[in-house]
Order: sequence, then structure tokens, then C-alpha cells
Amino acid sequence: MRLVQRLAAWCGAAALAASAGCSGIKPYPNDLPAKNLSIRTVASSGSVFSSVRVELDVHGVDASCRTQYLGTIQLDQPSVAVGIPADRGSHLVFKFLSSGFLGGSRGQISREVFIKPTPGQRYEIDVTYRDDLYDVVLRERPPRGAAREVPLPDRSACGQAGSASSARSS
Amino acid sequence: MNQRLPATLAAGVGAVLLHGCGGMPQTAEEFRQAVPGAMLAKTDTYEVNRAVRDVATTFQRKAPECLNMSVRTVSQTTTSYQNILTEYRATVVPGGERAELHLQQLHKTGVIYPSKPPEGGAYIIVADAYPLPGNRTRMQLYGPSIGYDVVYRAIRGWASGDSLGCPDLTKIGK
Repeated sequence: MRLVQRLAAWCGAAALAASAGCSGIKPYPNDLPAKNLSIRTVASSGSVFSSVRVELDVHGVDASCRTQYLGTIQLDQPSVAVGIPADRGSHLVFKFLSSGFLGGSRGQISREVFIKPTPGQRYEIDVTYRDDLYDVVLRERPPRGAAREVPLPDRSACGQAGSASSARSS
Repeated sequence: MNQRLPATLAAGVGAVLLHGCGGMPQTAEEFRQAVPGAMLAKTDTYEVNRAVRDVATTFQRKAPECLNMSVRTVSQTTTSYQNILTEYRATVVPGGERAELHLQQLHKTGVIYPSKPPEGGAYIIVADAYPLPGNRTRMQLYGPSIGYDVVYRAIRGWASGDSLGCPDLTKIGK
């Protein structure tokens, strides 16, 4: 009996280590007082035999268009308020991670957005994944007036370099 | 086995079309001619309630954004390991008597082509939009009969304007 308990404890510790310390994912601090970006997420694989989840990697972009990974936000809630530095660029990578029944297959596809918020301006992003189709829509919401959809600039908007999308599956 | 389907399927379709016209189609027009008589290939037709110029505009916006990318597929069993890097390239030809969307697929690793694929990769889907009276459009598609449903659904959404989502290309063949 004690052996079983020891084994269970070891398995639990191993699982924790795998999911936290070994994952390499750093949570985005999201500690700016002004939450200028609202992200609404709807994600469904459309099948009981598979699942999909969405993550957002946030990279800061300096004046020379160099990026620095700042952290990841799990978009597992219908709505998330995020603070993105105004007056400097941010490179947002929305990652759609799908997995098949019992983890038999995995896939990842991403959409990248370059955003340089205007101080005082609020932004909304709708992220959807339904029936293997995904979409990311960016809107600006001025202090007065209705929100308007804006084209998704990719990283090339900062210095005309980089690529827009990538994907992989396994 | 299921994880290997994309590459197997793509190579299979290419091989079938290869036999159908004496060589891998080197142009979109050769692809159109090869598909009707080929195994694992199909044509499809439907109409949408939008003007062809609007359809073309949507193709020009969405096709590069959603289809120009690389996809890596890794599958591993106790006896084998497969790592395939596939590049997709979309071309939109607007105007004239029809608007065209071509999707090409090039396996950079993991697949040996029996003959030289065209520049940009083997043609995998061609979608033509023809104007109809009353600001309607007839869509004519050529491509594989299995494995590419997600791409067909995306193209249909772009043509009709009902859905502007991108296809998850990692789901090709699944």
C-alpha cells in the first residue's frame, strides 16, 4: 500500500514538473494599470474526439524592430483584459493548439499581429476557432464613437521584415 | 497511420494526376484538364450571391494571409519517424473573364517527387469564379476528393462572404 502511495506521489510530482517548471512557458505579467486590449475568445474543435486551446505569446518590439518574448497568456476565458505598452510596438502571436483523441495527434497554427497602441486608445480582438477555421479580428475603439475594424498588420509593419504566419503539426 | 495521411494523400494525388496527363501538371490550366479524369480528384460547382469582383477582392485579401505558410508534420511510431515540411503558396489572378485562386503545395522534406514539380509546388486546388447575371458568381473548383475539406470550406466562406476564417492547414488529410 505504501508503495502505491509513493508511486502516486512521484507521478503527481512528475506531472507538476512537466506542466510548470519544464514547460518553458512564462506567464505574461499583465501588470500595466491600463488594460487597453480586450480579447474575446471562442474556440471549439467541433468534435468530442479532439480539442483546441488558444495561447497568446506577447513580444515587445524595440525601435530597431528587435523582439523580446515577454510571456504567454492562456486564452481560456471568454474575455481577457490585457495591458499592452502604448507608444511602442508589440508582436502578438495567437497560437491555436489542437490535439486529437488521447493525444494521438497534435497541431499548431498561429496568427501574428503587430500592434503599436496609441495612448488612450482601446483595442478589441476577437479570436475564433470553429470547425478547423480560425480568425483574428482587430478593432480600434476610440474614446468617443464606435469601434472600427482595422487590417491585421504583421511584424513586417515594423521595418518591413518578417513573415506573417506559420504552422506545424505532429 | 492517420498522421501520415497528408503526405501520402498529397503524393497520391500528384501521382494520379501524373498518370492522367503524362506528367505533373505544370500550370493551372493543365491541372484543370487533368482533374476530371483522375482518381482521388474531383470538381465542384456552386453559386454565391456576390459579384465576382467582390469575390476576387476577398481572395486577394485572404489567400496570402491564410494560405502562404509552411506546415511541419511529424509522426513517429515504434518503427518509423516521418518529418515533412510543406510549403503552401496561393496565387490569385483577378479580372478578365474570371477570377482564379491557385493553391500549390511543395514538400521541402520527407517526400520524393516522381517528376519535377512546377515552380512553387504541385497544383493542389484551383478555384475559378465566373460572373453571373444579377451580381452572382459561379464557383468552379478542381482538387483532391479527400483530405482538403477544410480548405474547400474556407474558400466557400470567402466566396460567399459568410466566413472569412482561415483554414487550419495542419488539418489537411485528417
